[in-house]
Amino acid sequence: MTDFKQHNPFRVPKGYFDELEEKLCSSDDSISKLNPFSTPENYFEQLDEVIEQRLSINKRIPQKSNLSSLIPKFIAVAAAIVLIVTLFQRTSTQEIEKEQAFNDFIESYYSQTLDSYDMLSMMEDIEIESTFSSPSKP
Amino acid sequence: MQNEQSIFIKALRDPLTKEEAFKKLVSEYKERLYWHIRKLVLDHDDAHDVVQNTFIKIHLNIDKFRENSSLYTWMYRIATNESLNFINSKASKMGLQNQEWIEAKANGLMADSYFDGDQAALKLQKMVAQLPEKQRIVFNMKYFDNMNYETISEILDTSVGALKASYHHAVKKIKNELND
Repeated sequence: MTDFKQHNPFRVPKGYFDELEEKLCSSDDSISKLNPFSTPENYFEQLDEVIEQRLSINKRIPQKSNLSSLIPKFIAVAAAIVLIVTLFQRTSTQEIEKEQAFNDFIESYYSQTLDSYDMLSMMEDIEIESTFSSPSKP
Repeated sequence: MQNEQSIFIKALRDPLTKEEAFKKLVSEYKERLYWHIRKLVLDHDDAHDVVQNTFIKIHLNIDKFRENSSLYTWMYRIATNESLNFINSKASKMGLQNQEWIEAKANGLMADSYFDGDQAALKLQKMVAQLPEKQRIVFNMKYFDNMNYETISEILDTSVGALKASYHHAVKKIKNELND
């Protein structure tokens, strides 16, 4: 009796359950009911033309490989320009700094070694007049 | 069938016949690829962008197609990859994870003029959006597109066993959500 219960005498064709699953899910009605999305009117009729236009635009745009070969050249030129500008700016700054240092040295030399009388004696009369006639700083 | 495909691919590769053959290809597959993409990106405008990019990729890469799968499977793979790249790019621009971006899209479906579903359909879409990416793709292809596991396996380059497990987990999660 126990043996009889344990043995299942029925068989199904090979792959039956896989096919059954497919069939249960493949009713055409269920697709239309399940698809809740829609498109603008005549969308698919116009899509061919849209894709054709995109393709023709793509053909006119230079290939990526050409663009990528231009990028390192562009970077090299940009780097050279930046380098030249930086060097020029540094040179001009250094010249201004040298001139300022020289003026500072002259001023400090005169103020340390000469008194006001010596300074006045070195100046022309007209310079003395203009110095005293200009308003004094607060 | 295989011979017919080979002749068609030859026409797609020949500069003299390429244009005409490509028009035929677009006409034949545009709807199927569009609906596959649409179910992945959810929004019509996004699907419109992705379907164009997909056909451009097909046009550019037809010479690289090695014919070890059907043309249909190969195009489906490109469409799937383009959709996932699109989602990835949009999500990262907004500082979101891919799934967060899709969930946000699903939550906005009721306001979408090209979504005709009722509350039940909306609920299903929201639940599908919550699935991990692989499960979501498998669920869409199996449940909505009625594809068999062998075809999905070729497209996603995943074993049938792994696909069955993914689909089983997805269905289980959705059933559990529906019962709550």
